[in-house]
Amino acid sequence: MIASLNNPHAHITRPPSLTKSWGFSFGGHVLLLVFLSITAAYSIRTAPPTAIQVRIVGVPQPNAAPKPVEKPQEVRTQDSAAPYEAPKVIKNLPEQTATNKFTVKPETKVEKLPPNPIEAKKRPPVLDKTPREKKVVKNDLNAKVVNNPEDFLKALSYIDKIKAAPSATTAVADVKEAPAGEGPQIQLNLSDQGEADAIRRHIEQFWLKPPGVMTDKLETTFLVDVDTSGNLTNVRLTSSSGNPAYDATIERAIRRAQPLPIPQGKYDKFKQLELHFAG
Amino acid sequence: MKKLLASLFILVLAFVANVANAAVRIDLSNPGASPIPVAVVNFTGKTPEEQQYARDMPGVITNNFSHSTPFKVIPAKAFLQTPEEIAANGPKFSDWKGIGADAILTGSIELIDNGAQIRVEYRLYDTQSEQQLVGRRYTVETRFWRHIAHRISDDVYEQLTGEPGYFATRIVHIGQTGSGKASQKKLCVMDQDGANYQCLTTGNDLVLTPRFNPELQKIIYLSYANGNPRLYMLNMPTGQQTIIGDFEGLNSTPRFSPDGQSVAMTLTMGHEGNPEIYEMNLNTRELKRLTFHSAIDTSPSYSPDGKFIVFNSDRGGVAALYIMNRDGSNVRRLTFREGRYYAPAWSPRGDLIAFIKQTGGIFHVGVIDPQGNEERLLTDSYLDDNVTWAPNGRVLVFQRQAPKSDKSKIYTIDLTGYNLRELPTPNDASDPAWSPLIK
Repeated sequence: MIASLNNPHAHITRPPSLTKSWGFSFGGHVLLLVFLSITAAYSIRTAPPTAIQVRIVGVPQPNAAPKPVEKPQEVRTQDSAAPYEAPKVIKNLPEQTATNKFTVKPETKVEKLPPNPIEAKKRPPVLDKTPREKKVVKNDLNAKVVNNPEDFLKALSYIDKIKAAPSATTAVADVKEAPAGEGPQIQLNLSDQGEADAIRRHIEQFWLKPPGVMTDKLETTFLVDVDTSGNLTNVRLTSSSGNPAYDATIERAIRRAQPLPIPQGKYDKFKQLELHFAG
Repeated sequence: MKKLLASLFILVLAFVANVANAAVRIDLSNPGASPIPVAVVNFTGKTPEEQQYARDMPGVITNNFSHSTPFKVIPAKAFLQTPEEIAANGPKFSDWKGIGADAILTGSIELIDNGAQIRVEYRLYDTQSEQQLVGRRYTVETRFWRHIAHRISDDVYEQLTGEPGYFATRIVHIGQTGSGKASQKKLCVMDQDGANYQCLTTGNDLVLTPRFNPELQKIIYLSYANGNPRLYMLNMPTGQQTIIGDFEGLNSTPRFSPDGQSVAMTLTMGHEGNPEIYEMNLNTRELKRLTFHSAIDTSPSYSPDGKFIVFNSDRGGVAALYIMNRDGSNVRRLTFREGRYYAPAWSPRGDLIAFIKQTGGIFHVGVIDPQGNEERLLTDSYLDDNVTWAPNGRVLVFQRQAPKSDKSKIYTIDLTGYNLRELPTPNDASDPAWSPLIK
């Protein structure tokens, strides 16, 4: 409550015009003077202030029972007082009795429904949540899109390396422990990188976070298989963010992004994508 | 040697297999922001009564979602499939994807026991993965049908956002009729959407600052019932009203501790009328003084773990927010910017503290994190006051007073600053406080 500290809009009150207020002011002051002297005299006579410092810490009341209100306010019956009346018990299911400790809540029977048999037949491939093996092959050519001309020489050195190693585009280097969820990766040359970037930009257009929730930064990895036209044939969650709803927004984004822009003539390289989302 | 060769061979095989399964890794880090588009389809029912509920319940749910920032409700006129077709053949997902729905809510109504009970079955589908996300059947006395609509709203909210909802809740507040000397103030409650409005006291005595206890059974509030401002507790199931303590002077700004066993409040007894913060154990009635300062200390609010208390003090020369340990030790100032800060309320999520701020003649509802960083102001108006949180810590409720008026109304606003909404109340309303989830 603001009022407990000051009057927030006291400044709004305007004084009456000066000419009118002279008389009032004079009379008022005289009255005030008389009033003050009387009260002062009275208080001196009757109530000499004694400064007693009272420090109260832990005052246990002898009777634990609360002091009842002397004149109880009219409170309407339970019907109106309770947010919800305690209704008759319909049928207690185990899952409900566990949470239903409040008499003010409606007794509600809750049952979980299995998926409707109607659509059970035509369901798409089930999301495979089995984690990927942790020992993985690390990409030693952290090739990036070159934006800065100064980086271009570095990029060229990569190309030299690729040329030097005949199987460089699919070769793998040292086996290293990688964060969970990362699978074996294909190495990309510069033009591949540009195409991977196009896929990234394409999916990001469809990646939408609902506002006001999921405010923490979360990370999720999906492994997807695509057919030659870029449609998904398999979507697997390989590393969950821990928030299934967040994972679901990501999966919706991937599915909505179909068909993915798989570069022509490079299907073998791009037929499986590991999509790592952080945001 | 043979063994070595064999293991080498296996290693090479494994290598090749790995390469064959190798994937191109793509890192994505730039999500857009957009509400989740949800289609709330009318439920189905056989009798005319059932069909009425089959329209009314989705109506309540639609109203909830259309005021909730994470959701966008797709208008029913865009739907290509009727509720009956879905009931018979399941959702035709391509149609729903076509109109942009990410999720579809469908359901059915059955009245049983001669209409005394209502059985509500619902299913929520993900249109992209073409799977049922959740499906439940609720059975309840028919007059509580709105409560079930809110429960379903909370189920959907939790399923799609990963966070608990806030729809099956009530808001306690002070309802005011008349103005000036003829005004009456009553303790009133309503559903979070303004429905089921009820007043619990007669209005003969001034009442202020009600708060729910964590178990929903009790409301603590300030009343002038015996002529002096004292704190009372109303036990809702029994209607019994008891005084918390008859302490000399002003007794004000009560708040329950997160476990509901204690109440922090402001008392002016003793120290020459200076407001200090006390905590009372409701079981033992033990009273403990927490602040010892000649300045004003008031408006305590507990952190959700019960370890700290944020409060309002002008000990630094201007009204600001301070945090102390629950035992009153380690007082530190939280707010340092220009302006006056009042009425702090710690979020049930623990991540933010809401407050009222005055800068010049303008009032704001704002939030700040418990380290004193990232202050954000969500509103500005002639007078906003008494801010408290929805139980999921995503929506705030407060009172707003128009210029040149002593009347106020209750508003809610999302933490993002969107969805400012006036709650419809039959009378003027102030001092709102949100209940915990009713489950």
